[in-house]
Parts: sequence; C-alpha cells; structure tokens
Amino acid sequence: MTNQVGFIFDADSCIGCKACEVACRNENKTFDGVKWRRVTKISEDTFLSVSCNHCNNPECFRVCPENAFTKRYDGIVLIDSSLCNGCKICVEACPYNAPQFDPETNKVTKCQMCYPRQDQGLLPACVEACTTSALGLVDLETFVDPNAVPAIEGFPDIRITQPSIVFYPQRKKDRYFLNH
Amino acid sequence: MIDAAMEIFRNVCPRNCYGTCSMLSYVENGILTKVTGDPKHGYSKGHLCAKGYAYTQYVYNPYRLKYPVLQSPRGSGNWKRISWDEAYNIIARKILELHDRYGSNLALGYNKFSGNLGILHYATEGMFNSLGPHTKPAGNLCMGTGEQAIRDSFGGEFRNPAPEDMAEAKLVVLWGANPAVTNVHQMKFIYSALKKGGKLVVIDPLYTATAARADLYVQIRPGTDALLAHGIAKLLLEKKEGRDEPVHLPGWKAYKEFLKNKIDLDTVCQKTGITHEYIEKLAVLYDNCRPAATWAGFGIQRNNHGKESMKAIISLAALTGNIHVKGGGVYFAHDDINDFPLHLARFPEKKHPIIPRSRQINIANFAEEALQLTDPPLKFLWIASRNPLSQDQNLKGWQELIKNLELIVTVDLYMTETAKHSDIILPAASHFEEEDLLVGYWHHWLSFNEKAVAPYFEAKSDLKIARELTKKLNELSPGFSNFPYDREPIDWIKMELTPKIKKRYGIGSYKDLLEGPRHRTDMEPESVAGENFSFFAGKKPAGSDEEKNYPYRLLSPQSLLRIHSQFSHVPWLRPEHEETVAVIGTTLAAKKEIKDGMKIKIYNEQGALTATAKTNEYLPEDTVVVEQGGKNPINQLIKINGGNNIPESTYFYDCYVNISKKEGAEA
Amino acid sequence: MGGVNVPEFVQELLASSKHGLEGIAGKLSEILAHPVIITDPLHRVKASTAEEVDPDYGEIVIHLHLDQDFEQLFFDCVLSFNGDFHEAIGHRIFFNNQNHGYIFTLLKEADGKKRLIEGYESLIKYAASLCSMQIQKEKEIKAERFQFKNAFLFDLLYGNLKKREDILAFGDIWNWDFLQPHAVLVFAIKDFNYYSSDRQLLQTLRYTVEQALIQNGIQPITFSKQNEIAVIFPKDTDSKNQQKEKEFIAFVMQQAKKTDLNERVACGIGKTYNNPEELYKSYQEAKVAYELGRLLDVDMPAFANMGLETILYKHDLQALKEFYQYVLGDLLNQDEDGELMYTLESLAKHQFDIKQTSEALFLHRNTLRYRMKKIEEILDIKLDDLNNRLNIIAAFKIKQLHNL
Repeated sequence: MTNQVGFIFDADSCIGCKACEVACRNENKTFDGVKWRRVTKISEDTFLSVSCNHCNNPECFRVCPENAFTKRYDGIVLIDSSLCNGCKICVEACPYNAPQFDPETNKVTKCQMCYPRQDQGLLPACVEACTTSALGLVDLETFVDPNAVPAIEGFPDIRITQPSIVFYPQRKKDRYFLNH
Repeated sequence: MIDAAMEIFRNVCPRNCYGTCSMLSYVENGILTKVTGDPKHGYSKGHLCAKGYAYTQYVYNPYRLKYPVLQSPRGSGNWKRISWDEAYNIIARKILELHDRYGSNLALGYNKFSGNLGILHYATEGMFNSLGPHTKPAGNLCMGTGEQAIRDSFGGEFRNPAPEDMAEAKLVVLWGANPAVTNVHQMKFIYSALKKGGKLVVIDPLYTATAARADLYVQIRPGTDALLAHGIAKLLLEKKEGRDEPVHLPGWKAYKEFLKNKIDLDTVCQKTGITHEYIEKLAVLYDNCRPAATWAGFGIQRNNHGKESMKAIISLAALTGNIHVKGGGVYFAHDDINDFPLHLARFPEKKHPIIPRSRQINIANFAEEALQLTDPPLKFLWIASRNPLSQDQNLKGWQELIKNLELIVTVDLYMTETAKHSDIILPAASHFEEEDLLVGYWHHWLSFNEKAVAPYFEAKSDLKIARELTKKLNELSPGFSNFPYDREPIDWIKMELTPKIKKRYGIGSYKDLLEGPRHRTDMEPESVAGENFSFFAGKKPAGSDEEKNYPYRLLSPQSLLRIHSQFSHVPWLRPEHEETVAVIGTTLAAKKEIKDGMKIKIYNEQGALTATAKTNEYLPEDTVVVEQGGKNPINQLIKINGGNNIPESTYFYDCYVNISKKEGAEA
Repeated sequence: MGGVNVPEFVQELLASSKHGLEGIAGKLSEILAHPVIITDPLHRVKASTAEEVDPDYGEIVIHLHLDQDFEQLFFDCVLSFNGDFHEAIGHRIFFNNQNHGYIFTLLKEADGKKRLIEGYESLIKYAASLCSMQIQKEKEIKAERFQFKNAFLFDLLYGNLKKREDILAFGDIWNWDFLQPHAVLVFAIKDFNYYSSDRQLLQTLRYTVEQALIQNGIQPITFSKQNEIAVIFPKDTDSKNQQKEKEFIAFVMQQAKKTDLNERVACGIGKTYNNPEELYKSYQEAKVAYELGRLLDVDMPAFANMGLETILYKHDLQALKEFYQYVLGDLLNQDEDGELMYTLESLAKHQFDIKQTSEALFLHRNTLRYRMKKIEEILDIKLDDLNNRLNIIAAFKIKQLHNL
C-alpha cells in the first residue's frame, strides 16, 4: 500500500547540463529566485542534482509549527502553502535546501515530485528531461541493486533525515595532465 | 499536464547547435506556456537542453524588442518607436538614394550567419539577390577550415556518419569536442557504447565536463593535435610492421614515408606535452578497439594548424581501418542542407547592365575587408541572425566600419551589442511565431517548424520583412526588386520539398512532417568510399611554436547556458555571476598572487577588460579561459593577424593575452 | 437423465466451507469418522476436531515416517501434541504451486492407512482444495484490513490527519484509544542494507516487538517503514518520565537477542503527547533520537533528553568546529600520543567522577590526577569549574556528532 518513490542519481552519467533544473521551472513555473531543483558542481569531476528528497524522516515535518507538511502514501512530501506562515524554520532545518522561500508570496514552496504528472503515469519533469539518464525514479521499498550507495561525497549528511535518493558512485578513470 | 484548452505544436530549435532539436510547444489561449522535447525526434529522443526548456522566457521577456525603433544619433541610446511603414520608408529611401549615387547596389551589404538556421531565414540573402549585385559575405567562420580538410581528404565529400551510430563504437575518441556543454544529446549514444563495453577517450587542453566522464583523458597543448595524431600513427605503423597496411588507399605511400622520416616521437612528446606512455596508450586503444569513432570537434580548427590537425586525425582513422565503418568514422559536421534547392539562398541575382555579379567579402574578416572596399565603399549594412560586435574578431575594425556606414539596420529579438550600434532595429519573430523547415548539420533529421503563436507585439520573420521591404521598394521604384513578395511561407517550404528530397526523407508532402520529424533514408552505405579518400600529404609537420606577443593563450569556448551571445536575457539561464569570469591555472595564479574571486585585468594590444578570477588546478599554466558572450564580450581582445582567407574558420584560439592583478584588488 | 451424479458429501462439504476451516474440518471429520486437524504451512493449528487439541490452537510437532516426505500429497506421520503421539495421514494443501498447509486425519488404533485412503482419497483432495480457497480468502481479507490499518497509521505518523475527531473515529475501529497520551518508539535495524536479506529481518523485528507488546498487556499498534518499526506506545499520563518505555525497550532488546537480530536493534523514544494529531512529531523525534543515539552511543535515547545534542547537531558546522578548536585546540596540538585527550574524554563521559573514570581507564587515581593537572596546564583552565566542564562536554559531543 505505502511505498516510497525516490530519485536515483548516477554520478558517473551527470554532465551538469542543468536541463533538469530548467525543465522543473518550465513545468512548475516557479518564481525566478525559487529553485526546486539545483545542479551544482561539487568537484572538477562531479555534479550533483538535488531537489527535495522526500525523506523518510523529513525534518521539515517535525519543525513546522503549522503542521503544513503531509506525506503521501507514495512517500511524496508536500507542503500546503495555505497553512504556511512563512516562518522559514523548515528552510533552516532541511539539509538539502529543499523548502524554498518565495518572497513574492511570503510562503515556502518545494518540489512536489511532479505528483500531478506521476498520477497520470508520467515521469517528473526533471527525470524526463535528463538526456543522459543520470537522474531516475525508483520505488525504494522494492529497489535492489548492490552497486547503489546511500550517499556520495559532497552530498549533505543523510543521517536523521534519510533522504529518498540513492546513488551510483563514479568509477575509476585514467587521467593525464600536462606538467604544470 | 494537458487540458482541453491546450494545443500542441511542433517546433524546431533553430539555434546554431548540433541538436537541431524538435520540440513540442504547449499553447494555451494563444500563449506559449511550456516546451518539451519531441519523443519522435530520434536524435534528442524527447529531451531538450536547459536553454530549450527556457524558451517560454525567451519568447516572453521584458527585454524583448516589441516595435521597430530608430536611434538618433547612432550610439546615443536615444531610441524612438517608429512604425513599420516609417522604418521601411527610411530604409528603402536610403537604398534608392545609394543606388542613384553609385549606379548600383554594391554600396549595400549584409552580415548574416547562424542566429537562426531555418531554411526560410535565407530570405535575407534572397532579398539582396532580388536587388541585383551587392556586397555579400562569403565563407564559414565557424567550420570552414574543418570542412575543407574533410573535402580534401574525402574527395570533395562533406558527410557525417549518423551520430546515433556512435553507440556501436568500441572506442569513442572526442578530440577537442565537449558535447556535455555543446551537444548534450550525443552523450546518451556515447554512454550506450560504454554500456556495451566501449571506451571513451577525450583529448582536450581543457578538463571539460565531457573529459570528466572519459575513461581516459589526455590533456594536450592547444594547437598540437596534428602532431599527436601523427605520433599515434607512427607508433601504429611500427606495430603493423608491414601487415594490414591500407595500401589500397591513395596517398598511403607518401603518408607512410612522412610518418617514418618526418615524425620524431620525442619531438611529439615535447610539443604536445604528452608523455610517451600516454601516446602509447592511445595507440594501443586505436589498435585494439574496433570500430573506433573519432569526433574532431570545432575546437581543433580554431587555430592556424586546424586544417593539418583535421587531416592528421582523419588519416589516423583511415590507418586504423575506421573510415566508412559502422560505429567508426570521423565526425565533424555535414552539408545535407545543400542538397535542398534553397530557393531563397540561391535566389537568382537580378541582372545589372554592367556589373556581372555581387562582390564577396570574407565573413571571417568582415570588418577589415569591408573597410577596404572602394568604388563604391560600403555605406549600408543589414545585420540579421548575427551579433558581430560580441562574436566577431577585430571589434576595433568594426568600430571603424560603423563610422563609415550611413545606415545600419539590425534585425533581432533583443538589444544586442550590435543592435546598440545600429540606426534602426527591426524586431524579429521567434521560431514559435513563424513557419520554417530545418535540417541539421550533425544528425540527419528533417523537421517542420509550425507557427505556434502569433508574433510578439510587432515582431516579424526575416521572410516577412523581405517581402514587405521589397514591396515597398517597388512601390517607390517599380521593378527595383524581383522578389516574389506574394509567395507565402508554406509555398517556399513546398518548393524545397522536391521529389528527390521527399524520397530522401520518405515523405509524401510537408504534412507528413507535422506528424513528426523524418530521418534521411539514403545514408551512404558504409562500404562505399575509400576510392576518393586520400591521406595527409604534408611535407613536414607544423611547428607548434607560435608568434607570441603576449604570454598566455586565450581560449574562448561556448558557455553552457548560451549559444554564442544568445539567451543572455533569459532569467532562468542567468549565470550565478553576471561579470566576466577568467579561469586561470593555480600555478599561474600563485605566480601572479591572484586568488579566487579577485578582479584581474586581461589585456593585449587590442585592449583590456576586467574579469573575476577563478582558479583551476587542471588548467595549463600558459592558458586563460574566458567564455564567449555576456555583457563584456571577450572578443574585444581577439584579432587574427592578417585575417583569414575564404573559406577558413576564424582562428579564435590564436589569441594571446597577459593578465595582472587589478590594482587594489582583493578577493 | 444421464450425466454425472455429484455425491452428497461433496455438496455437504461445500456447504460446510461457509463456516471456514472449522466448518470443513467438522464436516470432513464427520464423513470420515476420524478426527481431523488443519494446519498452516508452519504446522500451526487452524482448525481441529481432535478433543486433545486446544481449540485456541497451539503448534503440533510432526514426525515423519522414514520413507515419507512433505512433498508428497499423502504421507504417513506421527503427530505429537499434549504430550501424546498420534498416528496420522497427512495431506498437503497445495494450490498454485504454493503450500498453504496440511490436513491431518488421525488414525485410530488398528486402522490401516490403506483402508482410509482407498475409500476417501478424492474426498480429502476435494476438502484440501476447499481449504486452499478458504485460506486464500482469509489472506485477502487480512491483507485488506492490514492495508487499511497501515494507511491510517501512515497518515497519523506523518501528520496527514489534521483533525482530532478523524483520528479518534479511525482509532475506534480497532479499539485504539487516542484520548490517552501516547509516545512513539522506533526500533530499527542498525546498518540496514536495503538491498539484501535484511528486509526479512525486519519481519522478525516486527513480530518480536508485537509479541513483546502482547506479553506486556499492550495492544500492539505498530507500523513498519524501510528499516524501522514504529510503536505507538500508550502512556498513563503525559509525564516526562520514560520509565515505562525504557522497561519495554529493555524487554524487546532481550527478546531480539534470541533471534537472528542479535545486537542489531537500536531504538529511539519520542516525546509523549496528549493530542493524537501531534503524534507525528513524536514519530519524527523518535527517529532523530535514534540517529543521535547511534552517533553518541546511547542505548535508549529519548528525544526529550537530547536538547543539547539536537542543537549541536543542527548548528552551523563551521561555528561548531571553531568552538571545538577553542575549547580543545591546545590539547590537540600538544598531546602527541592522544593520551590526554582520551583521558579527558573519559572524564567527560563519567561526569568528571575520578573514581569512575580511573576504574574505566584501569588507572591509578594518582596517575589520573597527574594527567588532569597536565591537562589543566595545557588548556590553562580549572577542571573543577562547572562552566569549563560544560564546554568540554559540549566539545566532545560535537566531536562525536560530526566525526571531527
């Protein structure tokens, strides 16, 4: 009955092209300063694409004084913005910068994993946009892959929150740099 | 999400890019609300890049030009809205006056290139041809050198294997190409090859986002690619010891002698900066992995050894038995578009009683050559699909040219650096606001671009402008132009779809393209060719020692969220830092006591600009990297000495600079 | 009229299945004139007509005859229950390639197997197929009820139910009294590997926890997700006293050690709430307490007692590092073999009690005192100052929480 949809991120495939980030805006029409998904370069070798991770233990949940957050049976964490009083406590509490304060409305919004799309059988916009398949969607209740790891270097501390995201780490590669 | 009021149209991204991606446009009450990839497009397979997903903001943008505007005086920033009719009147009267003054239209010229690659955008060329002899740009500043190298090697052919076939390669060698930034959709085909056990090699002076994904990355000194290719070839030749030599291919003997006698591996190591061990590694990979697909990127032909580098790389591919092999081959670009009739681009030039034909100037050295024109000098310049004051070399020359021009008309969607220096700007339609037909230069798909929304305010397409201006000219001076201004866009499109073209793409009429893009059906069989091929025929390898009047080589690659200078007004694509960023190696930074975030001066004889320093441990010490475009374009420092010849590319990377800490600069 | 006559007992059996496995066992026993026991695949009795078998059902032990095995449809065996042994014929309830249990027909003395089988082979087979349908039906009902219950608990624990009346009404369905204060306890398997057989261990954990609740006279309200079992634990009052929770946890841990879980269970205790609509907080708190407890090596971490830790965990890492350096930096720099640091850490752990610390470190008290003096010299502070002690304790907690 309940499951947990989650992201799967292949650090070896991501090229940092930001299509996911902009596809999210294209789909959700978020205000300019509000980024539900962000691509960052964490080293010369590695990019990271992070949105709300729809945690197993969402801290936003625990700290919200208005009880504005809910978790769907598929694990998607939503905020009911009509209940939000703009206190930003959740913004501070989340290690992934998922809750985003929208200065236009004075409320917090966040990634909703495109649940209206998912309810129609479509992938979230970010996943659909990923041309290299670095970003995927899995059901973590049943997902099994011995090559997957719970975090990679550069990803925030997953303890406490238990984010619904798994990773494939980078493989070893051969490099030649000029002597400089 | 799709609801009842939503209409979906097929559009094609017309940017100067490998992708030429088909897209689906979601229109609600006449407003473009969303764009997505078109799953029927076999190359992009339903994905777009970040820029593509931001198109709604490109169409609806507070900075987009709404009306024709007139600046008086030029450069003052004093802009006044005028009507289209006023604009046409001013332009037409100037054209007619110049014609009266000089007895021909040679004083009229245009500068148009790759801002929109739609076939109907050749309306500008068609419009000028309809006036009779004039001054036209020639050449290809982007890929001319590479194209020539390919034609020379393949007996006149300029063809590209299907990029989807790269998925079948056992070895993919990206040589000065960075698809992770400039051709994102190619990555999935490369990954597909890797999944099947293939290997990815990247050879590049910069440790790019693509290089980071490679199994083997080899950093090379800029401009020395020919030597590396020769070096690998020499090692392979030694390995072969007379076995499996491609003796049947023309020029083999001379090439073999050249490798044997003129190539010295120690020199190769010294000049390329690559150790013997890694050249050997590359040779072993080429030897063991077949088929090997080699992609010679535009980057390697942006310096004056580019042609030799291209030919050397192609010869290496041939030596290893990889040309005309499925999953192998040499990738660069192709000219499928030239197989279309191109009725607009090739619109027959109106006859002039005395002057036999238009005069040509090299687009890669436009300003300098335009300045040299006399009898008559160039007095009128029409700029469309271009932003030379950001993207050309020799911007000082452009400033000079501008002074000599009596009327400058720029057609654009935005107030570009070039538009700012014009007298009249005509607001251009976006590709969502016009019909068009597109064929790429990388993959082999043909797509129809539907009109999805009405033009933004008073914006018009290049074709619409050509039709209306020629009509106005004929009103003022009957018979001045023979442009068929009554012909509608769809008629021009139908004319492009000749029986031969319809057969090639397997369509009955343009209507089939409304159901989705179509792939070329007559790809040349891999087994053909060879007979026209010829090996590199140089006498001695080019040296890599440049005349360096300044110590550091400036590389100016594309930035991820722009194409050249386009998209800079789109908020979703705005970079974190608006200012110009210069990447310098950590060693150089330490030497100059420059820290991350500090303001530095980059300068040479062309001028100086201020940039924010960003240090990078992987950048060679003698290299500075500044991405193109932006508010303070780096091209102001670029001038190619002596200019280029038609049809060479612009050697943007033959540019040297010095840097210094800005006085009083701290991080 | 031609055709096939359906024997009367077939119809009778079919009719009896209305009353579930009990009905089938009764009717079959009546027709065969032998006691019948129906069990699940684990030999737990589901229905029986044998007088000696406790109708509230226990387990029976089956001893197979040497030449027999369970894989056969019919097999001879000896059942033992209530200290007695009984000869029986077993029949596997096999359906859709799955074993759903067994029908045992007890033999009277002097009965031959042959006689029974010869006459009633097809009858028993028919009864078995009725049983499998019945078991399937029961499973579905159970799964449905379970799903419904699970959905409610999910909504309760994730704060999706914002109205108290709704929670009370749902609770009534299962006789759960949410007017009473509750706290949420979380039990989780340490170093859980999602991609391995650890998932089965979670079932064991749930069973262990539920059994422990029953044995403590508490109606089990449990919810499992990923690597954890959450328990909604009733409290008598909303007092901050966690004695009751801790006793229960100790009991669970003891039980767990007897299973494959061994030492792999850890727990966390949320705060007690009077209002059921706030229970989701307790759940999140219990999970935070669990994580902090793991980091700080606390056996029964309760969120209510972890104020300082929670603050230190959340606080800006750079500021925490600076604080750590400020308090212990000199010692870090000058204590080459780490001996003094280790000593100070032990002291902090034992509330600066010299006796306890020296015992824990196997040190003579004078040696300890000597080391303390050296520490005081290096840090240039007095260790008997309460403020200094507080700083040191906080610094070591930072070290543990952030792996400094």
